[in-house]
Amino acid sequence: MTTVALLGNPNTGKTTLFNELTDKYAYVGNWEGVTVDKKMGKIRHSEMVVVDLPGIYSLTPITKDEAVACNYLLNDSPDMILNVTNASQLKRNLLLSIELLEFGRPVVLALNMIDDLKANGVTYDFDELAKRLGCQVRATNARKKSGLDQLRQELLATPPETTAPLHLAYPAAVQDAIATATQQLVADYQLTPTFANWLAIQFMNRNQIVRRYASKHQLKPLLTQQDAYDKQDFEEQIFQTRLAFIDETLTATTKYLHEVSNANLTAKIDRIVTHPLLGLPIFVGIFLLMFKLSFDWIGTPLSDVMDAFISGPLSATASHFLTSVGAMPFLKSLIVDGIIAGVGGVLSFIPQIFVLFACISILEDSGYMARAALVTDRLMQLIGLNGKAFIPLIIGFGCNVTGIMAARTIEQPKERLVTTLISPFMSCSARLPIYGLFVAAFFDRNQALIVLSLYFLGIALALFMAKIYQWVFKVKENSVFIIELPKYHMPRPDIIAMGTWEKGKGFIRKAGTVIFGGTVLIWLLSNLGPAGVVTNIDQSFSAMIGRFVLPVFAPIGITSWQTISALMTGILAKEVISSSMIVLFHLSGQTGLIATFSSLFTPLSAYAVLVFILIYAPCFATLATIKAETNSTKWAVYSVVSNTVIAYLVAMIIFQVGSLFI
Amino acid sequence: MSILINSVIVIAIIGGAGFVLYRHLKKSSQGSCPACEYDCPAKQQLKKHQAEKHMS
Repeated sequence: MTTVALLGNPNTGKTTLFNELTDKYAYVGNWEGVTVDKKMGKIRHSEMVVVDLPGIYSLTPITKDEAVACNYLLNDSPDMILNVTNASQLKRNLLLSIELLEFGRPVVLALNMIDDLKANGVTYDFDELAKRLGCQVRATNARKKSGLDQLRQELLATPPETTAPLHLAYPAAVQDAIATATQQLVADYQLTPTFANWLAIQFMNRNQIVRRYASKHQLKPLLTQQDAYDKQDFEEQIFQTRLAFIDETLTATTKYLHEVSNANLTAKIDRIVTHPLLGLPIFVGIFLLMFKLSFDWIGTPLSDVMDAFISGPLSATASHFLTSVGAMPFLKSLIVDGIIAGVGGVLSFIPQIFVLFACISILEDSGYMARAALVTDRLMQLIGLNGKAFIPLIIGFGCNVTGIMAARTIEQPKERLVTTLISPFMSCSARLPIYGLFVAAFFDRNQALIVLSLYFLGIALALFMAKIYQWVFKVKENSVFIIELPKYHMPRPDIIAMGTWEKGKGFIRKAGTVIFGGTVLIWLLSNLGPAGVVTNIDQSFSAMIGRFVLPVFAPIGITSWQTISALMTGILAKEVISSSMIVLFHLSGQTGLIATFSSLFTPLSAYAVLVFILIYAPCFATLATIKAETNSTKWAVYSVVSNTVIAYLVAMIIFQVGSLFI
Repeated sequence: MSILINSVIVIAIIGGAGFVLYRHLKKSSQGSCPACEYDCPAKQQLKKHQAEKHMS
């Protein structure tokens, strides 16, 4: 089985190429940081396995995801390398290509997004480029699927044998040091000359992963010379030599097709979208439009139809059927009032969630998300973070777990911890059903605006807490934020459809697992009491628990024990709050619950409850992820306590101050 | 439907719910990738890889 490592700079279209070559769908985002671990897939009709690795600018790792790529080369040693480059940014992309060509495995260089380059009136002499680099060169456009068959054939036809590595004319002192180290490594450690040569160059280039590898394997020819290499600044000499080689190669191979008279469309759009003053209002406007589509225009009407079906014909038919087959009231109640009402009540929010995910997929695929990170970078800098922290935060809008995992791309440990701790303030999609219930009940005409305000309150609170953490943790060093701004393009329907499905199917799966489990659990707690089965819910366990803590929540406007009991189930998963409420209020769906809400809440107390739900303790999966990513139970416990206290304080301020005016 | 069948169905539903909750909490407690609900291709490949490793 031949293994091909897919390597390249971030946002060069690697993941799209991976999907096209392997016939496997992998999540595609038109912004960096999407591939944080390696993915594998087989090339169609072959035994060749392609491994998609995170996007990197060089093999010298700064972040955790960059270390994945270097470690893979060191430990898994692929048979071949497919180096994907952005043809329009070849000068920067070739810095990584050189390191890969020096590795000594057959390299196929894919010049992706070739159409963008040609649109700028430039192309390359591919034969000359291949000759100078010592590898196969293929022009592709993964999005338009052009050049992919040739690339696939090229990969299948290339023999997976060690080839002569690229030899650059490094300065004499560097050359001599490489030659000496290589010779000794081959003689004393039985390494192949090619690998020893690459290892020596990487070691001199201060690659920390390679230096750790050398320490682990006690490679004395390198370790004993480390100080000498660093004192002579071999790293800079290597860099300058590579840069000179790239300049010379590109000068010799660049061909100009025609003069480009009109400034391209991307630059024109960017002048407005990334404008220092207009950028943020546009960002807010796009989010408002997204919520308008999800809550006002498309999502809610469809959701109402689904709810009418679940709470109407489906519920009635199930009830009728169970009665006709002689089911006892306890079983009938469990199925109709528990499972169908609870799980069905949450499932009726599928249209809203899918519309929102479709909007996010469109923003990703069009290229806007990268701009959003750039726009927010200015805001983030004010509180000591940068746009790099925005990416995990916005991923947290889908699910806080993946958001926290995406914080791995932040290289500074303290900054990473700060981003991890503020991630749960991002309003994940699991909270949407409960928002949907409350906004439909109290803010019918301003549903999108209220949901938008919650999202931005989450962002504002995250930024405020980040500033406090920066001060407490004494964060001085900041990560470097570099982001590739891809060209805008029309979103591709298949990518949008798959992206939406990938994001949304987790929600559907949850309906059959944790939402179902949580609904049955709350149904049991509301039908059982200290004396056994109860007919009056006020004597149940859930009523006892809810009533016990109810006085504590009075200052934020909660007056029903059912709300408290439902909030407690949110620790399982936030979606369970909605299903628990439907079960606890003995209703058949969201329509009944919305009517009941009007006697329990005012618009002000409803908003305070929504704010509490936005901020309070993260779900169990998020807590476990905080523990796993920080290697500490302390931070997970801290997250529960701090988020709940902050949620309580903010909700109380909103309710109490609001009560003075409303 | 007899009391016995009614009871068996109720126990099966509650048992099933208990099992999915237990599995959810167990999976979530591992944090990070196992706790994530998205069954992304990376996760599918990883599972396949682990299964192959286990078999061999």
